[in-house]
Amino acid sequence: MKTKGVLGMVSVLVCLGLAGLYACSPPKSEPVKTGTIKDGEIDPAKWGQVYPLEYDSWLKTKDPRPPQSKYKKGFDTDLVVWDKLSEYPYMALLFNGWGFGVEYNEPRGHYYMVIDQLEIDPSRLKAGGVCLSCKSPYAPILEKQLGAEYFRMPYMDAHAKIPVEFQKLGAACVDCHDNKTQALQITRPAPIASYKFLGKENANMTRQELRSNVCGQCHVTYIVPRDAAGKPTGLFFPWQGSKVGDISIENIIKVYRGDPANEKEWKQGVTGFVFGFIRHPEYEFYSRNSVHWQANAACADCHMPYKKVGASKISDHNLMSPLKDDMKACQQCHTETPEWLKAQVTAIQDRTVSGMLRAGYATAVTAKLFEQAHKAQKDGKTIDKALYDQAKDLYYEAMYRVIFMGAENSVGFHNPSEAGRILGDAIAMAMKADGLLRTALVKAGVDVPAEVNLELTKYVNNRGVKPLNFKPEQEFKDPFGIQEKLTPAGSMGLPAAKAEAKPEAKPEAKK
Amino acid sequence: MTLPKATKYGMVLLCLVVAGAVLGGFLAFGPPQLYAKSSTPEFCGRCHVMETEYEAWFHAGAHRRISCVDCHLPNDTKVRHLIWKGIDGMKDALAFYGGRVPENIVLSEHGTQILQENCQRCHAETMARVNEERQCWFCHRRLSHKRTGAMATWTP
Repeated sequence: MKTKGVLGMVSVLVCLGLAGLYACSPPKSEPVKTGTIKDGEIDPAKWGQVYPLEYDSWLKTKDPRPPQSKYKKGFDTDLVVWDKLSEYPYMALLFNGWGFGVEYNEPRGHYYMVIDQLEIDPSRLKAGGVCLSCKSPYAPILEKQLGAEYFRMPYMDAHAKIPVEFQKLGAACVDCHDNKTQALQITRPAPIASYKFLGKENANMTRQELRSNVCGQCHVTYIVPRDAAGKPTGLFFPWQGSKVGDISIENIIKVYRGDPANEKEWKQGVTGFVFGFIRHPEYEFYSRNSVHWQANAACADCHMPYKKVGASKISDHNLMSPLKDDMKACQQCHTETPEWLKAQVTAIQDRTVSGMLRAGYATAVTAKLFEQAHKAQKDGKTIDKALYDQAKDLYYEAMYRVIFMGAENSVGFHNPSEAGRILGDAIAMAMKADGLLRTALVKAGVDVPAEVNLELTKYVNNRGVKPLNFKPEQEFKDPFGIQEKLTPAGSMGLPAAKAEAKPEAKPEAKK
Repeated sequence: MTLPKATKYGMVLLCLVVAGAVLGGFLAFGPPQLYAKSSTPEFCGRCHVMETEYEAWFHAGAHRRISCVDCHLPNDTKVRHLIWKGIDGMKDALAFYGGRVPENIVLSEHGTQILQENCQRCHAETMARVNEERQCWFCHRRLSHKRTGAMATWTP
């Protein structure tokens, strides 16, 4: 009996031992942590001590690369600054009256986001401290410390409150990562509040969603609501009434036009109308059921592709257009050559630019017609109110669409069919407003010329404190040559082009 | 001494078990090498419905030198490997001989879990700094048997 008992126990122990030896998985290997990052650490160099590979690639956002894009220049090795008001002269007319009509350049790498704010014409920073909200990682701290005063105090005063060593620091590690687990999270106050409109917050976002949503902290349009005195009172994204994957320009415009406080940012010089403004709506545009969004590609999949550095695989934190990275991100799924892929991108962008010029110039002509109508009213003539109001409503709709597509940084690539849709609507609305105004003006006895002279010279030249002038070599002409039929060169009123025409340009028809 | 009936049956049972183990071990690991051979791609490819997958693997690049079981069976512990070898093997055999093989063979839910584990097992160091929830082949498409041909159709 005793032997059997012992034998039984021994065999059980042996079985357990074997099970322990052979049935448990080997421990998961973890990379050695060379340090820890303390809570609230802003300095990216401290994060870089623990994650040097990602930090090194993030630092590379400082360096320009050789030019590769037909329409998004401005951060190339030739260090030429590309002025959007020269690229798209209609913007100079439409935005005349505030900062965007003074200096509006193509962006540089993330490294420069605060530096660009310090170097640009001061009229762009009139709003105040609120302008820091998407740029400095110190902004959430300032907002908490200063409360409502943060939004309205002069920009340079708010900027001066940032510790000196961080005064030129753009978006850094702390904006997207948890310092202990490196998990992605939304950290800035405005997106935290605004994602709630979509029913989303950190707790219910999957990792793949966060790979887009952390970019959606800043690459979104926003409203700076103003009080009666015109001072900023806050910051939020116009996502009320929208859902994830369906933040439409229609819903966005509804939020702008639905509350007077949201539509007080600036007064358009040519028409005297007060507008809100739409900025870099990449997240809204891309997520609206674009083909790549539907394929479940997050922003990071294309703009922060995985790459091997030594033995490790990291997300490339050198954020840039895939065009400048030889389409490496695209080639993960698309088997075609980089040249083939680039040609596709350029084709899409050509078509979008064509649409932007149509919509932009149609809206600009309508703006000039409003100018004539207001002048007629000042001269004592009566403009039919019904026609005027209808035209004004359509003009607002067209204007916001033109701003939306002008501000979106992919020139249509993020969602080509939506780009066509929005621009098509803008063109139709602007043209209808054009027709209504002409009817009203003729009714009032004003002789309206067939071709309205846009007088662009007075909008593109002598802008701001520097001052800035039109750069004709930077203008994007219609790649399909159709715009000439609609707004002939003679009616544009642009400053005289340089004497040497490029060999492939058609000779201008002099009127 | 007279042994109690239980002990006598116990002894007989023990002898049978030991004999069975020896025979099984001989069959599996001895000259017929049943265990070794059943782990080769040729064995898996024997069922003709697996021909597509076998040929794709045969002509593919990166994973040509490893076998089906290196990806499709758990390899973290021997015990788990053997258990699932048995279960999956029986399932496949029954499906095949029962004629219940679908036209388009895809991995089961459990199969994708095993596959993902094996990707992470071999590429653990590379993936040490990456925290991905997605399946590896969501981006690395040409690993899937049926998609290995994608690259071959386009020339620069």
